[in-house]
Amino acid sequence: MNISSEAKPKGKGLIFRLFVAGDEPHSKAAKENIRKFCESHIDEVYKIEIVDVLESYKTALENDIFLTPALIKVSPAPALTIFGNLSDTQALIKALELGGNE
Amino acid sequence: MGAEKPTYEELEARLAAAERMLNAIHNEEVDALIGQKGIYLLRLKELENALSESMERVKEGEYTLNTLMEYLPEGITIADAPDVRVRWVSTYAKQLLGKSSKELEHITVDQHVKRWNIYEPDGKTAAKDEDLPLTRAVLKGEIIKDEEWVLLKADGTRIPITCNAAPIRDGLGKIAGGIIAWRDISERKQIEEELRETNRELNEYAYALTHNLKAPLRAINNYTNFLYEDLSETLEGEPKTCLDNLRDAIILSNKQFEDLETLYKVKNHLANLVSFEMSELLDEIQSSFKNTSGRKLIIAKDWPVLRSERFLMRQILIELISNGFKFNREGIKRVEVGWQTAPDNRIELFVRDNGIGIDSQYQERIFQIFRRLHTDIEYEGTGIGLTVCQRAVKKIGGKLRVESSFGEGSTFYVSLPKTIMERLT
Repeated sequence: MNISSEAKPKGKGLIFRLFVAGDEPHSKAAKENIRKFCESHIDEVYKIEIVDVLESYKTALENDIFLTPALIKVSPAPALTIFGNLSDTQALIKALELGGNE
Repeated sequence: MGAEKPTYEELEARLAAAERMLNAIHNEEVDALIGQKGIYLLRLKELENALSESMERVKEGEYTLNTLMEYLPEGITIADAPDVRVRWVSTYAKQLLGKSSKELEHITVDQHVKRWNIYEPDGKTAAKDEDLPLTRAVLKGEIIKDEEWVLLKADGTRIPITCNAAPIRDGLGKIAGGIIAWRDISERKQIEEELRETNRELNEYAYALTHNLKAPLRAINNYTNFLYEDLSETLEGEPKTCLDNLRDAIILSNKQFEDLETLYKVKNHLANLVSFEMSELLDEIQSSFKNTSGRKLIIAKDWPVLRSERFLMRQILIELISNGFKFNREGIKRVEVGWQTAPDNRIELFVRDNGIGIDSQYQERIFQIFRRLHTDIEYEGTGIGLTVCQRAVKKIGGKLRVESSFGEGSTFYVSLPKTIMERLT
């Protein structure tokens, strides 16, 4: 399942991959929260991939994901992983540090 | 990842991620754990609820058990594997025996006999540890039904009891313990004894009746005969009819007495198994049936040697053969006696006649005592014969049945286990 903003496919843009466990409470909340966050805090093109570990178990292992919910910023580099239901917007902003390295 | 060493930044990033993971766990914001073999859904709230629900049910179960043990008017004992340690004893049991929890509970397999004072049904021999029903249920998984034992109360009184016991198994079928329910049957035993006593008395009475009245009856018989001989020629009208009727009545009551006597003898016949040749017995019987023209008694040739009660076999055959001739209107009355093998490892003796036959609707009735299908005017008899027969057949371990239809003759079959045959001549 993918959520994208309507924008040109030019450039890599922001790609998120969210690992969830079906409709479990925190997973459900994380799906909501990342969508809301992206809508309100991200100007550029973004893409959110949702991976349900209950269906794509192997993908989880390939990405070294041991817990859900887990959000990976796939691009741009550096990659980073955030866990939990993503309700803490401030922490999210801080962690994502949109704009590259510190 | 390549063979290069990670940079400082990379390590920092990884550490930060790890910290975030731990925090998420710490804040309980995770719902699934992904392991090598599968995914574990961390539904902790649900688990908690399920657990407290289970606890509730366990408590309820305990309350129910408590109430049962307290109020059920039965002796109930529950013990645990593997040493048959007594865990629960019903209040009724403790009250009945006049013993306390301390004496009866928390004891192991080797203490049961002593603490509970358990005896064999004779009331005198102490029971053996391994024979106890609850012990057998727990150690061997046996199910015991209605087994009798005797308990001794605190005051020394003996209580006969009947026991039912079974093992208690866990979800995997393993024996976790056992339960025994027992009941005081002293009242029942008393009634049984009274019944036996009454039976004995009735038997004695029957014996006395038949025995003591025999002589007087014979006297009446003889004197009536004399009167008849002297007067039947000269008497007329009503007095003659009276005398005729008197004579008939005497003959009938004589027969009735004879039959009652035979019934009594058959009923009280003590087991007396002998080996005897059937052909010999049948020869005896044949000679007792006078060979009048118009009566043919045909006996099969080859007979086995039986091991049974000769007296009873004799009674049975005589009765069946007599009936065969009696209930018969043919010019030549034929009665055939023979035997054959039968399914289920049995043999059958049969007595076949060409008599009047028995309609199927009456076939059961003829075996009932004193029930007759015909009045005395048609066929003389008191109706005891077949009852005696059936009783005798039962006594030698057989079954009596008839195959017949009205007007077509009858065949009586005595079905016996093959084991009655000692050898074929």
